[in-house]
Amino acid sequence: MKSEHMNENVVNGETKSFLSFKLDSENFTIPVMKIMEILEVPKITKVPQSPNFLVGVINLRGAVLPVIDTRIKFGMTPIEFTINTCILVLSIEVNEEVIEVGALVDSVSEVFELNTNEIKQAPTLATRYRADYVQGMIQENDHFIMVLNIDKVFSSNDLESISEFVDTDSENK
Amino acid sequence: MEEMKATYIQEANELLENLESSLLSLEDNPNDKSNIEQVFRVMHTLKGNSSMFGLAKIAEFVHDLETIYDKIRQGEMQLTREILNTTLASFDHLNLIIIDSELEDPTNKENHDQLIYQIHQFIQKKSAAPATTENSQQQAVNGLEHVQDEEENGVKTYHVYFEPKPEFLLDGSNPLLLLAEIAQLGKTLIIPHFKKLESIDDFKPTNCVTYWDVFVETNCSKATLNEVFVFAESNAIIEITPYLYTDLISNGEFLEFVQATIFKDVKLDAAELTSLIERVGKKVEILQQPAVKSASDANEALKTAKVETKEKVVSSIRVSSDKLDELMNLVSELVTTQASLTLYNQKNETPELEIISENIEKLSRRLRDIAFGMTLVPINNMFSRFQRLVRDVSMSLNKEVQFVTEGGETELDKSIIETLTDPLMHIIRNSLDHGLELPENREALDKPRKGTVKLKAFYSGISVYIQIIDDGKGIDVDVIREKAISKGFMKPDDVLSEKEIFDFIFYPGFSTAAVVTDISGRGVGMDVVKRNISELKGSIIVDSKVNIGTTLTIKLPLSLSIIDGLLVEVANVFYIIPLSVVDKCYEVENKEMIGNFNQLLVLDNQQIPFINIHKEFGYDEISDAESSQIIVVSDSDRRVGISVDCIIGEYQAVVKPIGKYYRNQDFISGATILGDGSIALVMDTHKIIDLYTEHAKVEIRS
Repeated sequence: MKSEHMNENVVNGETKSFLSFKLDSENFTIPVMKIMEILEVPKITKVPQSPNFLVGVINLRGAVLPVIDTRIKFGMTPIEFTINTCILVLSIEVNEEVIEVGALVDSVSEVFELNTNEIKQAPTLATRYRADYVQGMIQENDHFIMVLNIDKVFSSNDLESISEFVDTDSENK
Repeated sequence: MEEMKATYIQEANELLENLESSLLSLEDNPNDKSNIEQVFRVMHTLKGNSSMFGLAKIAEFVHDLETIYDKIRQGEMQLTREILNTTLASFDHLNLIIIDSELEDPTNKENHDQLIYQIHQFIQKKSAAPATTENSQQQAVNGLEHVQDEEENGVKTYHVYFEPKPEFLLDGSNPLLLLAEIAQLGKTLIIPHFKKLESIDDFKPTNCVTYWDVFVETNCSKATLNEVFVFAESNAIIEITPYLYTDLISNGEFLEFVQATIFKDVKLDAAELTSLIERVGKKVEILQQPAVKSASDANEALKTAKVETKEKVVSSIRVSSDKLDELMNLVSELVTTQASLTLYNQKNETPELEIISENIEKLSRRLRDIAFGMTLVPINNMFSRFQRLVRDVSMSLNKEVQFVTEGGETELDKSIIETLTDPLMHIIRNSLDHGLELPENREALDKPRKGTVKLKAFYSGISVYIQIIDDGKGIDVDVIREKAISKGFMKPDDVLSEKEIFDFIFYPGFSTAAVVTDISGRGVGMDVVKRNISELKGSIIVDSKVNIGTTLTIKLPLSLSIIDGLLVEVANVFYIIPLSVVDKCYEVENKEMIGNFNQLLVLDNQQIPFINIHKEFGYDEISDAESSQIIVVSDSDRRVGISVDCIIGEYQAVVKPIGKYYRNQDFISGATILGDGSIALVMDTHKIIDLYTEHAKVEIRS
């Protein structure tokens, strides 16, 4: 029934490319436009006494790039480094300022095109994640992919509230 | 068109800045010809530029001003204080009207008319008494005697007639050397002549048959020219005649006349020469009298303007700072990449590659030095701005001030200079206002009437020091102390050093009003001065003696982006400690630190508190190594030890920001990329020490 509903709406809206990636076993996606590049994990230098979701800084061809453990951001267990782990270099907008940040993810799945009309409102009650992090969801075959609002997720302004969020989440567990 | 206008304004601003500094130095040395020339040239260029853009009002205005300086330049007028004041007022006015070129603002219009009136007054005053000057010129041309003994510095053209006697060469004299010597004195035109030989039998190869007419344009006196020939006098006929005209040598008619005689046995006829010079000279005069209405002159002006801008283009070009930043980034990347190439080469040892890698290393190092050098600007640019400030402020305060600058060639990062201008301006104002006494009071104290404010910049290590020294009344420690007590900054029984007491001046809310006289001014207090300077990672110290003067010393890093650091390792993470704070390094056994409750180590018989970085940064409690390195750093007056696992060596670090995410970790002031591509974090020892002392306090409380 849902798929029928979706097909009716494909009339308007623009088509964009999206990149999907995995955190633990869940699928997420963000617009390709926001991704500058995808890196293998280099040596990460931890900055002392920083919040745990800030993994450290890396050398991105001469520039210093902060790297975030996306899993911790979403209240999951810290990332485990495997051969598939990689860093998405994201260009995000915070307070009308563009900054670059690296996001650690478990693996990158694919790039696909999607009409923005196909993005459905995420049911507010059903999500485990903060509502403003999630822009919506899309259905692919039998599973859902979360479309993230990355400007919100990685905005550095949110530092305190994120750590609260992480704390309460871990307490819940 | 808008773009063109922007270019014009930018150039005009530059010219005006140039003009201001020349005018101010002219004030100190009213007779300095080169400055008058400079003022004239700048005005001329400005006039040319303005008429090129069709800004007739500005062009006319500058033209009138220029006329005054042209006359001064020609010696027809004396530079007076009134003229200078009007010129400076005109300068201010020009600053306004280059934007409002059509004088739409009524106040601008009013000023404009008033200034033009003043300028015309000056020009007329001078033409009212032209008799003497005209006379002297007449005399200069006809009765050459008058000029001959004059030792004045003006540029003159000398005609040197030099005829060696036939036996001149016999004693080894070389006439060409003499001519070369003359040529060094200025612009020269040398015309050789040969004596006619009656028959080939008369020819003796050892005889000198050449003689010369030399025209030299120089500001040397006749005596200097005579000196050249001092050893040749007995063996040659030498006649030296001065003429007043300056650009005779480049005059076409004159050249034609003298060149006709070249290589011929014709002496220049003195009478003919004089009349020619007189004729030509008048034309030169007319050409120099700028009549802007005539099209040819406007062209002339444009031409000169063009030539001068062309010269500027060669000496410097404007580059946007964004481009420079980008260049710096690329160079840093190159250096990093090159370091990994070297590393790769060391592992693989290919001889061909080694040569290439070494060359690249050399090139990239030079490139780095040049790129970093480009962002440095001589501090002079800023100093010249203060000249004007000092002049105006001291006038309004009725104080006589001599403003001295020293070390203007010291170079600093451009961004530092920009941030520094306001604080320095405030300090100088303070010195003038509160520091220096009125001339009468100074005399009563046996000091020279004229007070001195000295601005001095110099390098020391990787820091730049800027001092503002005045010989005014100084700051009374006791007054400050009382004030500090009444404000509650210190207790009456606190024992503080003089330096610490002076430091209260920088406390917010510590008004110096009671300490010294009236105004303070623009809402920038000394606390803001101090804050601005700390933002630049600099520091400021006051030193003062009553009735002797006050010295403020500002210490700044050479550049915000490169620092000399000590590369160390803590728990396998690299850190950089700025070398500027490092005092001494010690090796200490770990057992001395563990369980050391008062956090003190005895080093060189001194008790020094230490910070265990391992613990403070939350790494596992000290590794199994037996000893650690203690780096003693100085932080204002304290000396504190910082323990690290090992010291790797000195490292020149390009400091990069680590970003907003780490704004709560401000004890790390940045990061730098090492040769192998890994990252070292740069410690801000001042913040670390503060953090540590706060920690300690909390621990005691809990």
